[in-house]
Amino acid sequence: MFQLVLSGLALGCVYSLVALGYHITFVTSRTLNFAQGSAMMIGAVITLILVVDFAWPMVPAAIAAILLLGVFGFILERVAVRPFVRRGSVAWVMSTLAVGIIIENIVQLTFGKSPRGLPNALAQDPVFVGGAGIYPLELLIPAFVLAITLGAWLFYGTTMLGRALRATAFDREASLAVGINVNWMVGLSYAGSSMLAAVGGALIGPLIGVSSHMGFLIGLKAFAVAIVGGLEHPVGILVAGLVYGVAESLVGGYFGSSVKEIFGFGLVILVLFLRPSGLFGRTTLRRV
Amino acid sequence: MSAAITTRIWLIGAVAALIVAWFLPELIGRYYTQMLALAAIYAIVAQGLNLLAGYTGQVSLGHAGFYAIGAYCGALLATKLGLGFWSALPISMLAAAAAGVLVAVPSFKLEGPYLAMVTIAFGIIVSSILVEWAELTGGTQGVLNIPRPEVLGARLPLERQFVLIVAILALTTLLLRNLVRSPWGRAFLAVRENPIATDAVGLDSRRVKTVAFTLSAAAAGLGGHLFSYFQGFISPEAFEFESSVFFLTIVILGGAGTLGGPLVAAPIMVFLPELLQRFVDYRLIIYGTLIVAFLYALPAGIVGTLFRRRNVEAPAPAPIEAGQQSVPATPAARETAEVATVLEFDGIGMAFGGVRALDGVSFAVAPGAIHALIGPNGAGKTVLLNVLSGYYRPTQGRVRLRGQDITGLAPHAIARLGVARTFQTAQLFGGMTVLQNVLVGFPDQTDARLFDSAVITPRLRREEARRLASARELIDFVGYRGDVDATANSLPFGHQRLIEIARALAMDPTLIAMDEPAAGLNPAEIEELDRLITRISTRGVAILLVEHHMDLVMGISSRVTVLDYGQKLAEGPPSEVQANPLVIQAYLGTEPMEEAPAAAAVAP
Repeated sequence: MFQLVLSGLALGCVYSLVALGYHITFVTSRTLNFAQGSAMMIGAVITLILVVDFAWPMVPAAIAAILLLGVFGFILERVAVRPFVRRGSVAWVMSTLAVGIIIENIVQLTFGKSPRGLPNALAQDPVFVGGAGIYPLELLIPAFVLAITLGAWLFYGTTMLGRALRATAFDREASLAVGINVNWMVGLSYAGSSMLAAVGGALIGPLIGVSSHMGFLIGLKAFAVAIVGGLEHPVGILVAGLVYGVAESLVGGYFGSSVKEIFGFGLVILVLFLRPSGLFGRTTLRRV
Repeated sequence: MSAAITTRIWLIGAVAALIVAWFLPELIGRYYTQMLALAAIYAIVAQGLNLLAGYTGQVSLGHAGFYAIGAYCGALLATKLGLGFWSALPISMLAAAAAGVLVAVPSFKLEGPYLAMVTIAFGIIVSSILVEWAELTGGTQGVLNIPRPEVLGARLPLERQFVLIVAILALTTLLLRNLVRSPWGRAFLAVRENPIATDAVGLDSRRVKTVAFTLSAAAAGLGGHLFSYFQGFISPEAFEFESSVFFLTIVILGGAGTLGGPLVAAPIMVFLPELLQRFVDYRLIIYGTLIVAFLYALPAGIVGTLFRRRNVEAPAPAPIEAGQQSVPATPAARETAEVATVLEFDGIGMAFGGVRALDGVSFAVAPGAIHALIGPNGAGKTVLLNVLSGYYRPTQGRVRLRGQDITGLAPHAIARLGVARTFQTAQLFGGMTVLQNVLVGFPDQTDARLFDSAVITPRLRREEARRLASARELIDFVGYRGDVDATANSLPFGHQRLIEIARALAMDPTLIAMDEPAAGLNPAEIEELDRLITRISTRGVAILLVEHHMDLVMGISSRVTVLDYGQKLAEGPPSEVQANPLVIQAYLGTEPMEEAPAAAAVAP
């Protein structure tokens, strides 16, 4: 039980991280990157290639992967999102999904179909906490995610760029009026979003193995977490991720892994039925 | 092209498709016949999704769920209960439709990504159940040995099944065409274009969404049912998330909200992978790239790009009968001629958190009166209108319309009872034409008329002709002289106002609440508006007018109520209110005589 909670927390933290990626693009541009799961997957794949094939140490490998994913996110927004948003079309849903398909298949072709292990000292020998065997990495993930969140919070609150991003999120027109390059900000938020996904990939890779389709379900669940927490509420997303991770781990542990999807997504529908703007979203009065 | 001619073209097209379907299999062989049949099945599902995502604007990423329910229902009824294709068909469709209602209900208040989430979750739940509930569904094995459909006791060979599927596709498309051109079609488009305005004209957007979900799910169920009998076996793989994406891609690629879209895009999506067969490994990569390229090159989809705006024609009108031109008083107005007040605010209080936006506001509006509601910015005028229209529920007090308590009713219900509304920024259905915008306003269009709409009965035709004539008359009445087929969002500001007023009049209201109708208009337009409001009031419709242009207010109002800081400051005939020292104070500050020169001195 305790073990399930702990590993659920670790998994939940990764969901939150990837889900925050949906949040930051949504607030600046009202669009979402449905290739977010794939971004996570390539983050993990690049880390693995650097660690295994090039014998890099884990940390620089992960950092390199995260930076590369930043570039990826920036380009993705240019190619697969902005052209459609400019026309007022919702085709970016399809195009980002299509990019996800493309990436998955490219990786499958080059990297191979079967999952590969990402060796990490922290995920080899379990330690025992209160009678529960758990990898040190699983314990580290929550601390890690907390640190990233704090860092992001400081970045948004104190730096000029962070403030410009917030301004863009708050009011696009007014931001344009005070000379903020809104397009640039949207591009950056996509870069940031993909970087968060890459962090998630590097963190979870050693635990669940790396494969071309590891991102699909995690990407979807992270989306569910972002929605349930409230797309515009980072704190809500963090909490929702943890709750989802733990609940899923418990249900999966006691009732089997396929029931857990039925349960998890059923819960999502129920929450949205009761709270249409997510658990932490306020139902704002319509202004007319 | 006139609507009657296009109708004929569609009918001829349907017959031609059947004839071609009859002879084609001999020419192209079994394999391609099979592929085409699959494409036709996908097109049926996509037409259903087109109604929901294209016409009603509710994008679903879980349609594979409805498709699966139809397929498994058909398959299990056949293999476990021995039902035939035809007797199981309605059950499969009903089951999928019921699931549609189930998904629609939690989706009422959801928009965009939140709605997408519910549909995604639904799809995943269904596909997980297919795998999990193995005793019923056969688990990953699926269901085998589903019998072929029979006609007159004979099993249909592949070639004839193909004809059957094409016939069902043709029928689905024709029914959808009728539906989207009927009053229901306007309701679907209205929800897509502007949900707030939809409720404001008295259409229940929840009901419209539910109907769209239900019909859409039924079509997907129909497709699933066909699929399982056609294939002879089914397994969960065909019903995963990818299939939902696949169906949505067909709709968007073909052109969301175009009838021909799914018909063109489904075969492309089926044959594209075929063409790429030589590049087995790169197949999905090329596939994905082509989808992005298509979306990029054809923003409105294939059919949408080829035939711009062809999808929003008005239905064929029957000949207009003479003698409908002059309507001296609207029916609703005649009813209220006898009562002393049409509308009564009784101690309305509205608090937002700690802020009291309204505090004990009471006044009444007489039938056919032009009653102005004025006050400084932030006095609570728009809040009061929103309480009246049902967008806000007051924390205190009652609103009565013709003596009937309407406090807390839903916006569409209040609109139906006879309270029309215009907004500070005109809330039109942007992508619909001027004429359609006004037509949406007519009451009772969607009352139990789904059948009429789907087959376009003579009764519906007559009603539509009457509405069309009245709509033109109303457009004329408000003084709009432009193109009635122009899309609303292409109109200049002043014209949008006029159309919004014409739409309000179409609702046959007892009262119209107008929120700053003169804002942003030039002096000539304001004069026009002045005359228009007077003309409306001579029709017997009361007007509650929130306005800052004092010339307009004082010139036409029979009575003026002044709000300040959420409270009623004064009420009376214009001349009396104008002379009221309290009112002067509220508008000009505490000591007008001393502050005015001071301000003047500061100015350069």
